[in-house]
Amino acid sequence: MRGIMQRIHAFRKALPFLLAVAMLLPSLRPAFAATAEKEEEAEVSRIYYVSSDGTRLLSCQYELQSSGDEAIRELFTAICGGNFSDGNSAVPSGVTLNHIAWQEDSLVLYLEGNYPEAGTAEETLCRLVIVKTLLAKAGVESVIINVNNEPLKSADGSEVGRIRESDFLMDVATSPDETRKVIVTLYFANENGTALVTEDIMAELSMDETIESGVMRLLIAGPTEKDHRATIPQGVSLLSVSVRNRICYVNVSGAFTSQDNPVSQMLSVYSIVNSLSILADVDQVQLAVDGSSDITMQENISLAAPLSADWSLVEQ
Amino acid sequence: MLTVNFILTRAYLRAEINSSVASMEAEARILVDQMTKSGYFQGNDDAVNNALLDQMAENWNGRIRIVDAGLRIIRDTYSRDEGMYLTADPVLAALRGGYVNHYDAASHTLYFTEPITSLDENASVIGVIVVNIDTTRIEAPIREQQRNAILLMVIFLVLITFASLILLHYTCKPLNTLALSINKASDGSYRKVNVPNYRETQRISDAFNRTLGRLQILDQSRQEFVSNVAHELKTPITSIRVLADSLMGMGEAPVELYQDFMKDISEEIDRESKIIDDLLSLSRLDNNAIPLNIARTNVNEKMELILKRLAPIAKVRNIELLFESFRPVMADIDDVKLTLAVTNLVENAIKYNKDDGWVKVSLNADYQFFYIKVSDSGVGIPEDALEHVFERFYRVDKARSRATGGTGLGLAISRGIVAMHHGEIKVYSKMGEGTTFVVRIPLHYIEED
Repeated sequence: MRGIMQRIHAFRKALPFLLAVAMLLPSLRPAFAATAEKEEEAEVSRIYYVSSDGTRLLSCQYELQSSGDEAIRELFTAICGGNFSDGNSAVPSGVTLNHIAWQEDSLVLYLEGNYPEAGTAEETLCRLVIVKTLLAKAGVESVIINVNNEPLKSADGSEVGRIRESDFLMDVATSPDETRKVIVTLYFANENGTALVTEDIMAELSMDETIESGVMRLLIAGPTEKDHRATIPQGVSLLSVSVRNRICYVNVSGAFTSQDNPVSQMLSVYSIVNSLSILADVDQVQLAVDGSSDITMQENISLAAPLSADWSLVEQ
Repeated sequence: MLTVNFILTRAYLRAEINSSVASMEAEARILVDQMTKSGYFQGNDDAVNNALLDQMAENWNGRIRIVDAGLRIIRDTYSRDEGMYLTADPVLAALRGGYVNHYDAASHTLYFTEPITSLDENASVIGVIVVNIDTTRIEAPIREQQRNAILLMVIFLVLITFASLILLHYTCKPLNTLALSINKASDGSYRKVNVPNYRETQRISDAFNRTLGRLQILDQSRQEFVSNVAHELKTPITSIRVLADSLMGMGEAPVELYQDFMKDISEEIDRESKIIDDLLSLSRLDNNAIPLNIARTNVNEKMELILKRLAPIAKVRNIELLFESFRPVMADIDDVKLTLAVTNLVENAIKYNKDDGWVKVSLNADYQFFYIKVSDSGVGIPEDALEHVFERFYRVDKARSRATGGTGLGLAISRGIVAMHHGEIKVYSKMGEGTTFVVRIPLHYIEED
């Protein structure tokens, strides 16, 4: 009896120690495993396919078994008619990879079989998954596809040539630094400040900028041509600009009425009015200085009512 | 409230966006149908349609891209992505006929995609129109509305705070007045308090005034009592003084005269002593200084004892003493004290009686109380004096009581003793006919107050 109790007690005492050892054991395994893995070196690649309903591009991890050119073949086979749990391959199963070649910085694929028809979404997606799947492994810039010994052609018959990953946009959203180019006509003053002259400028506008605010921004920035003079005094800033019922409401800061003006206030006012009036959705311009239109400029120009363009001021 | 504002603003914004998208989609569809009809997607992208696209994009403060059935961007109003392939998921979805719109409030942008269908009976999807919009202009009025609402709320909040502070101040003013008045009154001026502004303050004022009244009465009776005591104590002393002075002033006087005067002085000293004893008893009674010695007693026996002791006094004026008992009464009483209380009553009945009159003591009991009735055929007590007889030193006819030698404290002491037994004492009287005192005491003494 006593012997058993002693043994149980001893076991009880040893238990925590045993548990600790048991928990530590697994962490020793990686040390062993790592050395074993080094011999295998399974590389993980990413393969692309399309969702079952065809509305999404999907990808999953793929363990390469081979390396070098063989790996390329292996990847192609994976994306071609492969088994995907939540989708289908974008490359029809009837397409096969005959051989590959390397040309400068391109991977050339010689495909055979029922390659999708040019100009269809199917063909575009097929191209896309080939490019995205193979380029990472191939380590080159572009892919050239030949189908049935003929270079791949687009719907209009021209050769597709080099296919780069950058040919494909994966995101609908437009980033804020993407600008649009619009040609605008701006009215500045001539050298003597006696009349208005035009400058056609390619304005680069971001998506949150209206063409009216772009015009104002450029007018304030000043002319680009050498013998043109700015019509807006230094230090003027645009407070707001909007269009309602074909009238453009422009609110500028107080510096607009300062005496430190390179040209006459008449030209200042009408450089703005003319530049905006030629825009498609503007007929008249209502100016305000620091929010107030109850101002009369020099030469009796009242800002109270909307102004129409005065073409007589333009140098003929 | 602010939370509600934010939730509402979000809802308005969403609604505004949705309605904008709906109207833009409608416009787009019209233009796109027109473009389809004019063969835009058969490679006939003419300048007029392109200009219309540019204008529409400009109006919307956005960007329009047209994608063909092969996902190739064939028109971009930003002129950047033409020739590239837009293989994003929303476009893939649109190609299958789905409509996608996505609003990102953080970046103030919105995009939507719409399929372009052919006009023949197949109605197949021949392209997708992709629109990106900057939503700042759509959001602006709603944001402003939100700002105004918040501003209004803040102003409202400030006003409400002010208003309630002012209201509070004026509401509490009467309370402050009340507190001040009560303070002044309790300082000893006995000035009545009256703050009628609210029912509540009126009630407090009335209650306080009643308390003040009682205090005043108490104060008054205290003062009266003190002066009464002084007067009562002084009287025998004065008599002694007079007697002593006369003695001393007489010079040589016969021994019998001295003996007479000494007898009188002795009587006065006795009287004084009795008054002081009574006062002491009363004071001790008041302060609950004497403990009650409760024991189960045969009340009948005690009553008979009292009458036996007082018989000689009654005999002097030939007053008949009667004792009537309806049943034997055993009760929890302090027999010494109760005897004293009843003795006082019987003594009074004898004192204020006619010659050849009677005094009847009757004892009765029910299951709760026992009753002692002391009636006499005496002179009676006037109605207006009835409520005062138990007051200390109160005498209906001062001259009469002085002659009969009372202290004026007897009834007060009796009442005190009856109260200690948690009993009640009442008096009934008719002038010229007689007086009856009724004492009611619980059979069983209960400790509680």
